[in-house]
Parts: sequence; structure tokens; C-alpha cells
Amino acid sequence: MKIDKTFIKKLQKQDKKTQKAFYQVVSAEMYGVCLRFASSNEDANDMLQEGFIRIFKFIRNYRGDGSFEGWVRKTIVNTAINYYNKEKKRGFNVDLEYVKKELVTDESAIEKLAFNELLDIIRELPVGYRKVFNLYIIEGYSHREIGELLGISENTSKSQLSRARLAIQKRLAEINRKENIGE
Amino acid sequence: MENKEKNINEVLRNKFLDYQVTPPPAVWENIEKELNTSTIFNTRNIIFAAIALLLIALPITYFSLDNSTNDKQKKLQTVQNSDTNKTSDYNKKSVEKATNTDSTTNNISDYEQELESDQNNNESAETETELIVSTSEVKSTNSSTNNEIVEVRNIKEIKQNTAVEKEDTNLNIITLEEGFVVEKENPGLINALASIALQTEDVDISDLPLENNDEIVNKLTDIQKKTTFWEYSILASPEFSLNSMDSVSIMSSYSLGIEPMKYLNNHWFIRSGVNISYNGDKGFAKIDYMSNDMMGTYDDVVNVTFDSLGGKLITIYHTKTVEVWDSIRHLVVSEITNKYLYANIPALIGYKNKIGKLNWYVYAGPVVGLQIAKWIDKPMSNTENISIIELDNKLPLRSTINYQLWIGGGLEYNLGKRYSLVLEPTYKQYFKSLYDNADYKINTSGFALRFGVNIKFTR
Repeated sequence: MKIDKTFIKKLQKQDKKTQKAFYQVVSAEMYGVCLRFASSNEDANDMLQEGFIRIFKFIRNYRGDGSFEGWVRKTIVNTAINYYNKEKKRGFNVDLEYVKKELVTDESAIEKLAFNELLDIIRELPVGYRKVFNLYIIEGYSHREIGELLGISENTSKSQLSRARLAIQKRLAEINRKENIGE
Repeated sequence: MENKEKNINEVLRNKFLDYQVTPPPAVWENIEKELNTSTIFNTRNIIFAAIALLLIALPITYFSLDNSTNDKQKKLQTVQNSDTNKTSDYNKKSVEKATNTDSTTNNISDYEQELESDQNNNESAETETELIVSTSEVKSTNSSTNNEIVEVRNIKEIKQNTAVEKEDTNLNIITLEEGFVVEKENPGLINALASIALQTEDVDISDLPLENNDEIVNKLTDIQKKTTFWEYSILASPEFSLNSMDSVSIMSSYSLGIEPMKYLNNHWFIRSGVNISYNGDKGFAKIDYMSNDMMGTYDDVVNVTFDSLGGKLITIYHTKTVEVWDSIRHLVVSEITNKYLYANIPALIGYKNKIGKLNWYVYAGPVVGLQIAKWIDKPMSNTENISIIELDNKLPLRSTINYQLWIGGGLEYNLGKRYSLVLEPTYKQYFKSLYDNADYKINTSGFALRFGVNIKFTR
């Protein structure tokens, strides 16, 4: 995705048609981001809505220093992260010992899954784990950046990622086992 | 183990990173609602409102001022087929009466009686009077026996300070004293005068033959024939669209045209002609393309030789710079503009009212717009060596013909016998969608502020 400078200027002038055009072009990609962070489609809709309003509202602050596409994505990601702040402390128990014994996951198991199935697995993760997983694995943030963004330490970020990964592997293992039984 | 983890991360990232899902339409609707809450009073709306207010306020102010003046200068002329004893003093008196008559004394009968009473008293009035003869409407009443009263409205100055004095003892006389008093039982003369007054031509009364009534009539008829029956309006205008559409911006258009106007009578006219209109639409296109881009360079060692310097062995690397090129896929949103030239041919009918130097008129009628040229933007046309995978052009093309209804008004300021300035606010309603594309079928409307000059031609 690359947005022309003239297009950005029009967005900064709050031109309605440009806003609509911009939304039409980038919303699908941004909705994909929101779906990963959200626990449900409804939450993802709210995140997307809130994110775009923030983009249109604060676009005049965009100075053109960095990539505009990056700025847009970052805004959506930040909105998605803040969406669940109130649920920050909700717990999630994972039987780590069990997971460790079942580390049979490989790339082919993930590739076999459809996007929706994988999305369901991600959504089963507790909000905190999901945030770290999305930020680190998909968005490519470092643990230090995640720590700053979420207000946690680097080590917490690492440990949450580890737990998220284990939880995913556990679910993949379950799916794998069911498929084997089915065969 | 670490490699495996990296691979899994990679697979997950690839699986998710570019995944796109179209959000439900309700999301945009909600965003739009949020954004629209504070945009009613934007700059454009304020400018439109200000222009509209100005256009309404100016004529109202002008006409209200003009009416108050007219009330004071209400002119009544007594045309009397009197006997030879009537003198110019009497005429002066009648004129004075008429000049000083209040607007509330429009009751002609009352006024006649008052006049008669004055006559009986044989009062003489020597007050200097100024009579402005003109009319857009001649109301002739009470032509009983010898008296005929003509009320003259909508004063058009024909001649002031015409220092011609003439007394005639004929039955039908014309007396000009500090003005022009018609005393004649001759509908032809009255009509001729009325028509001339309507034609914005100033008539020099001193040129009129005053010896013979028939001559006067002939002269006036001749003048009438020479007065304007055709006007050519040369108009330019910016036009603003009053509609908005998703993803398409209708740009302001500009037109230049010539519209001959033919008078059917003193008020009604028909008007046609051609207006060349320059229009444009702005939209965007989504382009998915591959290009062969240079990613960078590196120095490739092509040879290694050794040499000795001061007894030490030196390794010499011979390199060449290698450029790295790769096929990169791009998704670009690009703004595009399509431009068109239309010939708009109106068939208008209008009504004009003339008041002094300033006239006002209204008109309406159908207009057909024919496309005579177009300039269609081609996205990425200036980029070489690209391979377009998908081009999604969101800007529809305009149809080659459109139909409109124009409703407008105008203010005309006469600069002289031949030229006048005009300002015409006009509303335009398009009956057929501007676009052929079924997704963009909407009836649009526009507001044009036409301005220009009217050139009058005598036949």
C-alpha cells in the first residue's frame, strides 16, 4: 500500500470523499489487524471504527517524517491494544507442563489450517498474551518496544509470548490429535 | 529448536500479515456519522450562504428604495382633448399636480375631479416642474368625451430639461415645458411612446417634429422600429455542484457562452445559444503492479592479487559494483482527474422588468448538454517498465449527453444605449445522471453565477 502525498494532504484537509476512498482502500487490511487483536468480530468492528476516527482526527499531526502506511497501521494497532486495557488483568491458565510434553507442532500443521481456524486459536488466547503475540510475531515489534507500549517489562513480554506460543501449540496439538483419530 | 521456532513464527507471520477481510458496511456508516457531526459549518457552505444572502438582499434593498422614490414621483399625465382655450398654464398646473401627487392618490377618478376643480378655479400655477415621461405600462382610462388620463409607471427617463416651449391651439397639442407633456388623443402616439420607453433607448425629444401630429407618430414609430429587439448576452460563469458522491468529486466547472435574446413583447423574451462548459471529476484508482526496482548495490570481488610493499605482502581485491534488481509488487492509490468539454444549448423563456438603469428578469427552460471533448486520466501512464496486475478505476466516465433544467434570475445594469452588465444566479437540475455507470446514477444539481455583458442590436 502506498498513498500519494496529494491524497494525504486531502485527508489532512478532512476531505470527505478522500476519507471514504482511503477507507475503501485500507480498511480490509486494517480489519485483518483488528480481527487478530479482538476477541470477537464485534470488538474488531469497534476497534476499526475507533482506529479510523483517530486516523482522520489526528492526521493533521502527521508530518510526513516516516512512512504514512506505517503510521496508519501503528494507529490501528495502538487503538486495538488500548481497547482491552480495562481487561488487562484478566487471567488465563495454561497447563504449561502438558504443553511442553506435546511440542509436536511444526510449520506444516499451521499451514494446513485455514485463516479462520488460526484466528480462532489466536482469539482463545488471553488478551495480554494475544497482544504480545500479535505485536511480536506479526507486527514485528521488539520486546523492548512491546514493553514500552504495553507498560510491562521486557521479561514479562518474553514470558507472555512464550506462554502464548505454548497455548497455540497446545491447541494445534489437540487439533492434530483429533485429525489423527478421525483418520 | 530455535530455528524451528523462527520457522513457525515466519509461517504465522506470512499467514496473518497480508490477510485482508472486508469489514461490514456498518463500520463506515458509524465513522461517517462521527465525522459529520462538526462539518455543517464548513467554509464552502458559509461562502454559499453568504452569496445567496447577498443576491437576495441586494435586489430587495434596491427595489424597496426605488419604490419609495417612485411613490414621491408618481406621474400622472392628463391628456386632454380640450378646447382651444386651454393654455399651457393649465398644462403646467396639471403636470405639477401629477408630480406632487402622493402614491395614495392613485385613484384616477379622484384625481380627475381634483384637476377639474382646479380648472374651474382658473388657478394658475407657475411652479417649475420636471416631468419624466416613460412607461412600461400605459393605463388608459376614462376616455369619455374629451378626457383621457394616462398613468405612467416604472419611470424611464426620456428627456429632461428639454427647454422647448410650444403652445398650440390645435385640438391635439403637444406641449414641452421643462419636460414633456403629452396632450393628445392618439393611442398610436401613446403606444409609440410607451414602446420606446421600454426599449432602453433614450429619445431626444428635441429631435421630434412638433408641427404635426402625424409626423410625430411617424417619427416615434420610426424610432420604435430602430430600437432594440435583439440582445446578445455574452456570459461566463463558475458553477458549483450541490451534490456529493462517494469517491467522486465533481469539480467546479467554468463556461463561456453567447445567448441571443429575442423580445416577444415589452417584457417576455426567448433566449437560446450555446455555452461551452469545461467540467471535471476527481476520483482515485487502485493500482496493483510489478516493477523492476533497484534494491541497491554491492562490490563483487572478481580477482585477488598479491603484491609486496616494503617487504610486506599486500592483498589486492579487484571488485566491480553489482546492482541488485528485483521485481517488487506495489499497491498504489492514485488520484486521477477526468476533464470534459460540453456544449450546453438552452431554450429559455423569460420575463424582464425595467426600472431605470437597473433591470431585473427571470428565466427558465430546458437545456441539452452535448459532450464535445474529453480528457481521461490514465493512472501510472508516466511510469515506465511496470506490469499492471490489477487496475481498479473508481472514477466513472460521464455520459455524452445530459439534460438540464435552468431556473435563474438576473440583474442588468445599463451602461448606455448598447451595452449593459448582467449578473445571473442560476440553479441547474440535471435530469439524467452525469454518468453511464449504474453505480453512479444520481440526479445532480448545480449553482452557477453567470456574469457578462448584453449587447443590444437594432434591427
